[in-house]
Amino acid sequence: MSSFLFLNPWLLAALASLPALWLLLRVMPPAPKRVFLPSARFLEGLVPQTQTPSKTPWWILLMRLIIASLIIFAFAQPVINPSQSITGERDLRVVIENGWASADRWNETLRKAEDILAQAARQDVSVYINTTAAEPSDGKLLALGPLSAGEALSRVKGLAPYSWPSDFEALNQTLKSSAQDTDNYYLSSGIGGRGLKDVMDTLGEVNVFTPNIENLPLALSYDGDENGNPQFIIHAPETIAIGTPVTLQAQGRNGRVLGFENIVIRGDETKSGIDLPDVLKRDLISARLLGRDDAAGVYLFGDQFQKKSVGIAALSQEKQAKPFIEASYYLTRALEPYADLKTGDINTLLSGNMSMIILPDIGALSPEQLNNLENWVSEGGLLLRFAGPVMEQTRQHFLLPTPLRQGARSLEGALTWENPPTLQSFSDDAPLAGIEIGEEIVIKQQLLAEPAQDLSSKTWASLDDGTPLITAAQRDAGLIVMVHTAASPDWSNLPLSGVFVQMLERLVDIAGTAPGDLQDVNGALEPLRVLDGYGRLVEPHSNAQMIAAKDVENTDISYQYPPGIYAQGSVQRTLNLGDSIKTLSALPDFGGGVRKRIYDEQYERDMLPILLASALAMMLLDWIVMIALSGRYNLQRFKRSAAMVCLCLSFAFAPSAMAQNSDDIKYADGFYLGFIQSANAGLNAQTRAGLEALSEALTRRTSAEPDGVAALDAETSELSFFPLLYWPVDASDKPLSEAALRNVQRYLDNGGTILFDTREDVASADPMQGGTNAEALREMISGLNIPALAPIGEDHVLGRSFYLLDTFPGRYLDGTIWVEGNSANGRDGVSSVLIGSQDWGSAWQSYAVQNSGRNYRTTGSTRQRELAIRFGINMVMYALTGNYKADQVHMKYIIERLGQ
Amino acid sequence: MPLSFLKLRQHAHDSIADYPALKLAAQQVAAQILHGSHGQKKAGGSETFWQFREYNEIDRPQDIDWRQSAKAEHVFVREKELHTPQSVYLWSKNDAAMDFQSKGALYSKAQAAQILGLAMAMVFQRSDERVGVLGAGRAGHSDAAIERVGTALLEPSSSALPDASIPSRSGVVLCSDFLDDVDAIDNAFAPLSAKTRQGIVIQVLDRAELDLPYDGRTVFEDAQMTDHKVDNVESIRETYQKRVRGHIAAVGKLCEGAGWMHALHVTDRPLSETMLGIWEGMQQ
Repeated sequence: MSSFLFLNPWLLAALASLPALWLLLRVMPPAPKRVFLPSARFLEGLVPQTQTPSKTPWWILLMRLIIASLIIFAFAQPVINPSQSITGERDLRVVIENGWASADRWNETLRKAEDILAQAARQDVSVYINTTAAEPSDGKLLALGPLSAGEALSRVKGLAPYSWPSDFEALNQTLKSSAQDTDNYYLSSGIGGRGLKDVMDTLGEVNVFTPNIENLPLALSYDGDENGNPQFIIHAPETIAIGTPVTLQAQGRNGRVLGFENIVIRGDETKSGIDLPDVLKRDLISARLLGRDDAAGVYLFGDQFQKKSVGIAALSQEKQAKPFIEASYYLTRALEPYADLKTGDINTLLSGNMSMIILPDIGALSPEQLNNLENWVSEGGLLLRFAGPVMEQTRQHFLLPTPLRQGARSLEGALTWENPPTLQSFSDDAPLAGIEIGEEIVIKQQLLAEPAQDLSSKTWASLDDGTPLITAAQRDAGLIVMVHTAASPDWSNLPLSGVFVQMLERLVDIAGTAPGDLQDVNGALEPLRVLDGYGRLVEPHSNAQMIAAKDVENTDISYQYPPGIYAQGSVQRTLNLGDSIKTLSALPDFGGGVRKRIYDEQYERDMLPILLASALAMMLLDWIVMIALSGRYNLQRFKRSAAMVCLCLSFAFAPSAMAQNSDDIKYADGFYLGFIQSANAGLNAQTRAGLEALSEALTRRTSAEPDGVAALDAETSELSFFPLLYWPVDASDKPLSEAALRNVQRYLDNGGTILFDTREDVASADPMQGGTNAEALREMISGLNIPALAPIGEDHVLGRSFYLLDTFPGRYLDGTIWVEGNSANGRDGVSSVLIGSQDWGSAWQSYAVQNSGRNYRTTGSTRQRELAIRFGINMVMYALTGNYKADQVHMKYIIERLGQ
Repeated sequence: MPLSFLKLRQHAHDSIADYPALKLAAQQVAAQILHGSHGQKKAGGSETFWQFREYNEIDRPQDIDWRQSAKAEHVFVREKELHTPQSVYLWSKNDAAMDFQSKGALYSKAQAAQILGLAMAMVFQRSDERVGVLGAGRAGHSDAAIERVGTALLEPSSSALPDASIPSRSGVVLCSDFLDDVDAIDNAFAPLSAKTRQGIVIQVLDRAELDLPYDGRTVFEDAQMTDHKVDNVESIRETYQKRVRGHIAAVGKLCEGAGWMHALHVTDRPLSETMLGIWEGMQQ
């Protein structure tokens, strides 16, 4: 229902003057037309029979009367939906709830407060403002006043909802201590609480505003998991409309949406889960109710869904030299999607809170290691062991599910005439039950278990000849699992099979959480990130307190302990508002002087500007009509001037051209040879001179005519204008920054070509590793995704894209160029990265010096410099034209040369 | 006053600048009716061949046509047809009243009068008559005379006919709207009609002046800056039309009395139409 009020109703009396205006307008005749007529003399003395009514046409009259009445109405200041319950006799008290429950409807609350204050401004009364949630700075409620309405408005605009609940008892205290005879307004969140009744009693006469029932706040809490899928309870006030739809969304890191569920509220507790694929489940960090922007609509997860950490023990820290033979390679590839992997020696792993430790083919362990491992297993760790050639040799039989026989059983060899046995089945009652053995898994070698009474109960999987392949034994809270063959493919094809992956995934699932995590953390968890009122993770405010690790579960949420993530070291726990809300109750019927109303969309609106604007528009219309009627201006001219006005307006509003980097415009306009600047200024100057020489040679000899040379920065320059970048590497170059890596990678991914030059004589460097510059290059670009490179082949296009070349000398004669083995599709066979060491930049510069005729000492022979410049030309041609020279163009000459 | 003198010079320059356009328009109109000069059907001094005649003593030797004489025994003289030139004086009113062009008119009254006047001059010149400007010097039959007439027509003139005498038996062509009092027009014609009965009066009017296509409350302003306020134009339109037609008839009667030809040109009609009408009237 909309209502209407005039703020200056006495002005409406002016409407009485309209009839007078009517008469006045009626007697004003319109101006006669003026016409030049040479024969007007003949009109002399002619008497017209009837007079044209010399009155204003009735519709013009009507329009002018409407204009007049619009102006009168405008100045009478009509207001739609006025909040008119302020008497103006008493001061005003506005209580604004700013606990978590208000956040979702905060805008409504604020607008209502503004309306009330606007009215207070009109009545010129003092205002008291109270809030209901503790301020983070001192834990007290805000009580302001007496203020003028303007001050109050600016204070109210500065308020924000908090992520902790309202404290009605404290509010009651505050109100009692500053009792005034006031008009009272209470802007509620729609949720009641302990002590609210007393507050209402204290206030006495009060207007309470609440959101309508669909918009009452909801709270999200976690209800354990079912089949690994998280289950939630959505708490709602009992009065909420059944069937209110909400969307529950699961979020991963960086706000990635993992999945969502549309839910219909079915009462005060609605249960729902989100089905997530296992791989995604491990990324789950929060769930939220979409469109409910408050702290209770967000549920944060600690590490319960995060990847478990699995350690792979290695005897030494050395890097693996033979990746495809090593067991840890297969384990890593299989486990990567499911677990956080760490490789290291046993002691390192034990100190790192692992859920599972894998010992691939490790036989003897030191007594100390054995001891530590055993303790770890007893506390709940899962130890997975694989057999192997090393283990075959050891006589140690500790930490095994069952004793092993000495020596391996070779099931395939020159002297065996049986087929090697295959994996038959997984035992039904073991955790591995149900894994499909899709392919034939052939075991060529295994370590046999010593026959024992309980062997069959310990067996999880056996071969078709009945010998156990996987055995397991419980050790206190932990588990020891032994796979009787190796984790590398030389004993069986198990590591190459899908069964291996599924098996490891199951084992990771049953591995417990890292034992001894919370207990290890002495003291307290610090607030890492906390939720603000709107359910966003922010930096904690300065008064947020640490929580003792053991108390996290039963901490009440308050300004000192806002909901959020609390952490210490690698241990993370979360404090969720939803968990602490057992029930949500809507506002009860207070009775007495409490009038409950709903925030609705009908906010006060002043009509003065609208009315004045329409009056102005009508005046303009009237003016145009008068011009048209007077006939003094022809329509043509009017049209033209209107068109001019429109034109000027359109010019005025035309978006100004975006400022552009002038260099970029230059580079986009022509063909420039680009090089990446190094930290070494001398090198930069040399490279520039070299490239200038090259571009001169290009211009003179080919139809590729570069417009110049551009020195670029890997991080800040826009690289996309350059078909080819020359990148001389200096030992002083630092590894690329994150931004530079992104920039360069984007350039490469979108078809760019980079020629890296390590500028060193391979003759004097380590043939495999290269010199210091190569080392610098390796470090610099280790963050780039570069396809596999191979030494340049004899028939590579680079050798004949312009000149026929079989060597590519620069300052140094020797050296190999590395190019992409298989260039990506769409690149026309052009390698994205070429790496060489011949220092072409310096050779090109020498070429320029030599050609300048000045007698400087230059390096290398004239022939060598010529070949270097030819290589440069070939390189540019290669980058520009791609592989078209790979076809038959030079075949004739090539065959001729082959014949010689 | 130097200023008005300068203004006049400026105006004269403008007139000369307008002359080529005027000449072109007049040529187009004149071309409709020019088929050659009208001969006098007797031997004379024109360029047109008339007859061969035997040589006698009074003939100049250079008049002998040797080619013709060689064909026969006698010596022949080539005789040309006699043309007797007449002087025609033109006048066209070019004042504020003539500078009126209503919607739908092809030219302003002044432009139409100028083109018609110059076209008449061209027609006469082609007929070997001499043409001149009324009240401005002698008539001639060269192209220069045509140009003189053209620029004179373009120049603003007074509203009244110039009080100039013409040689008897010469012709006059008067182009104007002739909207003055009939008596005034009669007075102005009197000195001319006393001298000659060869006169052409071309009355140029605008369609708006004939029909009064206005309505409602209108103030009409005439060339004398006098306002005529009419509250309801529709109601007096017919009376007005009658009055104007009566005036035209009166002017026509005046011309008849003087033995002159009267032609009415309305500016929304093509000029050649009027021109042909005049020509036909002249042939009779």
